[in-house]
Amino acid sequence: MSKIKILPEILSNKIAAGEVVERPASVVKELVENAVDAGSSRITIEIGQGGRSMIRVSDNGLGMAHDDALLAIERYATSKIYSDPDLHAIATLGFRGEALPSIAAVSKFTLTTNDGQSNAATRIYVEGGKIRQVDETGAPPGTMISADQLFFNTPARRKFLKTVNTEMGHIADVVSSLALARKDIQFRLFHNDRMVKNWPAVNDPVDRMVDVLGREFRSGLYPVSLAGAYLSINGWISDPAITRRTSQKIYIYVNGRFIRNRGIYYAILDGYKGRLMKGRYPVGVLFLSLPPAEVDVNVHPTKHEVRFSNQRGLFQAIRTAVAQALQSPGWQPAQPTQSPRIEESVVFPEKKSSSSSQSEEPVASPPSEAPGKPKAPLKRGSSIIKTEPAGHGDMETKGPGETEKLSDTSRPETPPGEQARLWQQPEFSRLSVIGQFHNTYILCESESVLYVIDQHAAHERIVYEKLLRQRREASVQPSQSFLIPETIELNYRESAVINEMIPDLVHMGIAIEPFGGNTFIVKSLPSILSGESAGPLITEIAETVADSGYAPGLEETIEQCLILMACHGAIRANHYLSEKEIQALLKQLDQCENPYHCPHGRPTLIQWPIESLEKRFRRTL
Amino acid sequence: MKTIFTKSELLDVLSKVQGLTNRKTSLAITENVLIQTTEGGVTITATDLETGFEGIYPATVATEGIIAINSRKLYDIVKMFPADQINIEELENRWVAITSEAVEYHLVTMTPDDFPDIPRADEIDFFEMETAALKDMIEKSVAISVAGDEKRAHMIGVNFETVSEADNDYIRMVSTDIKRLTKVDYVCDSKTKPAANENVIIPKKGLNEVNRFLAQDGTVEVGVQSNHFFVRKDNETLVINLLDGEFPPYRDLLNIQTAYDVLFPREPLLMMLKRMSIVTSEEYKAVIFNYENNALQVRAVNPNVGESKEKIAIDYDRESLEVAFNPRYFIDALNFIESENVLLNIVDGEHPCIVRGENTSSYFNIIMPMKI
Repeated sequence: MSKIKILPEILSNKIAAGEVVERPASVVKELVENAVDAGSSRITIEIGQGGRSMIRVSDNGLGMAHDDALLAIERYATSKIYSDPDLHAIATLGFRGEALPSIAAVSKFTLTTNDGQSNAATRIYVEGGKIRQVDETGAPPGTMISADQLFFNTPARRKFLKTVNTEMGHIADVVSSLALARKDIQFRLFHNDRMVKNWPAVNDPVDRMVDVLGREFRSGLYPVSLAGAYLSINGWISDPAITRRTSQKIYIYVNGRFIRNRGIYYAILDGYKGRLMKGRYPVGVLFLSLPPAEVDVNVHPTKHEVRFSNQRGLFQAIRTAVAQALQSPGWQPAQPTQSPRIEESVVFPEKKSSSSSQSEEPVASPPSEAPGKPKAPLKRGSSIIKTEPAGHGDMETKGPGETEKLSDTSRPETPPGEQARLWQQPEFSRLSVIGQFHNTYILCESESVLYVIDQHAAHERIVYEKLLRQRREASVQPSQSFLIPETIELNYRESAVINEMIPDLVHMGIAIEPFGGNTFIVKSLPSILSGESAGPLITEIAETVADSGYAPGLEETIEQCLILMACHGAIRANHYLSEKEIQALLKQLDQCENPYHCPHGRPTLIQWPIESLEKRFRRTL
Repeated sequence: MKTIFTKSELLDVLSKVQGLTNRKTSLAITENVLIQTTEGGVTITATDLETGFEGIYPATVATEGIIAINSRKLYDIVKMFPADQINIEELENRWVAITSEAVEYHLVTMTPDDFPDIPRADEIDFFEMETAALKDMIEKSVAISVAGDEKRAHMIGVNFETVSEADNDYIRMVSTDIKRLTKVDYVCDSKTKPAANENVIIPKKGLNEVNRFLAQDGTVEVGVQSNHFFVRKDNETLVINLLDGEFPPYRDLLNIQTAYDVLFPREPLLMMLKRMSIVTSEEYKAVIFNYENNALQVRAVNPNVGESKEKIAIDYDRESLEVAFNPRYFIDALNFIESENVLLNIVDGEHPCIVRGENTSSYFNIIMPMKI
């Protein structure tokens, strides 16, 4: 008798459920995604006992006819793709046709649906993957699916469920990530019959962001907007002052699909460089829209992971977009950001971007990929998911007076009751100097704000940017050759990465050559790093790149060196400054790209608007 | 334990070991000196676990014993002690009294059993060297130092070996930071017959201690045994733990036949490079050497500071050649060369430059170029 048998369907569904349905939140994700794909405008999620006793998602979407409904709970049945080419141009959130049968296999499952054309709604009851009952019932158009007693037939899984609160937290996270992507849909979340969240449909994506992420963001958002030939990046990122300990609150959407990708987080952090303390992450929502053919979504059953065909170019573009956004004056209703450099930053470059400086060049994507690509998919891709361009449309109608240049206004435009914002007062040299406190801090005032500037941090920033500029302007990076080449052993993956990077590394002054197998020899280092040991440096670059596909490594190390040099070169605390010196310092700060943070990410200045002082003195309440 | 020291003698010993005992350490016992009195005299021991010191001195010993006492405090007390005779006596519970007629200190001490063992130089063949020569070799070798967190043995250590070339035996030290390398040879005379040994790597940190330990004149005895390098002078011995690792093959680098020697007057070249280095900085370290017809032009360009150039006449009739160097490395080498003229052995912009005195091959410097 043959040892190998085809598994019965119920068993294979249970196995599939193991991947797709990890915990109640996964069920919620699959069901809500279906509701979104069905074109609903209102989605209600009801949870009982953190999803243990009940998960019910109802929508007012397309609904299904009787026969479709029966088919839907079969494995690999879907309305979302029909043919092989569709798989490479996926525009819906789901497509695998696995979710419903998987959920049905591990719960007591009821599907009630009305396509609005049949006389009655269809109701199907499935228990542990077996259809128990099919009947007609009355129901409004749309679909309601409830999965009760999740994992009732897989006790092991059920045992591993965490507490009600933990599971509910995961569910809320899932709903948040879905809601952020679709401001046009109303989401309501109930737990144990109590309404937990209600996010009505809104016109302005910022409203949805503030609803979901919290009010503190209203005044601390920077719009990101970058449009290239193939790719556009839109969204909002938080002020560097608003940070989190993890990357959890960075929401990345690729063509509307929420994903997690470490390379993208790295790229964002790189864009923030010099503004964040080590180990802190910003908050943000980024919508990437690129041709579906450039993304492989079919990597993991839960679709949290995707692959990009040109990830280096993508990361580079994200970094640029974030860095540009942070240099913009922050989110204001009437100020569409129009960075002149947008046109030059091409993600899949067909020609060399004229704005990219020498030092950035090695990380640019290989140009060979671009020319052969058809441009046609672009239109399809970008039309599927609407990503809102920052600050356009109806927002423009609000108060045109506010668009005037900030530097022309002597007083920061602070909305009443809100903290004055740094970027509204970019001209340090216009501040009038009160004096120096403790030979360490410079006190300045504008009409209504008291500023305290950390002289060391500020000067460090100035020296650092000067060093950086010099480095970028240099046509060749000087390097020191070694008498005794250093031998480096890498593992297979790392050496593959390094092999590819050799020309880039050589360009930066690292003469590295393969030495057979996974061994390399380093014959020179950039002269600024010549006191370092090449081994750990190269290994770290290789590890980071192999791990995340993102390659900041060498520049990072060089910048670390520059930071160190800047730190040594900068004036210290406890150092008396004459008024002239203070003025000169402020003037140089104005010329910095990022005058608000020292190269380590600490702030260079803090400020007290007069309102807050008045409050503390109880003059106003 | 009870004994009487002469102030000047004790002070002399203690000052030699301060470098070992005053290091930051998590092993507190190494901040102490071990003083052991026996019938024959007093033994004083100190260590930083890498380098150890042991000296045996005659002293008036009343009772035998052993104490581990804080080196820094004892040194300070002895240095300012008002009398010439210092009594040291162990009391109960590891208290130690340091007294004269008028002065009395009671110090807490540590358990002498905890003191790390110092390797003894038993049954090894010491060979004799002139103190000045050893000092000179060490100074030239440790001049090439590396950053504190460097771990590679061939960079934090000096290659030490005996070499037989032509008719002579040499003691050789080779030191490198991989950007440059120096080789110092010491010709052995009939008295010094070192046993042929394999090369060993001695940490530069320990060699610095040796230099502090050595007097200016006379002779010292040097020896290598298993993992230790010994330097013995009369009744005092310094022992350094050798480094594990391999020194890269350097001999091919000393081969100068393929290249071309250019003769320079030492002092003018040194001064010229010193003047050039004024313009260099941490970011712009390089100066450019331009060999032209019978002249070397050197120039330094630093956008932050400015630029400078200078010419020196030499015998040179080959194709002109441009190569960049860190002038610091030349200055270090030229400072140590004693002869009036020096030879720079050049190949091209890729290969190292060899710097040495005109009529000697005992001190070699190899310097790698920069690319700018």
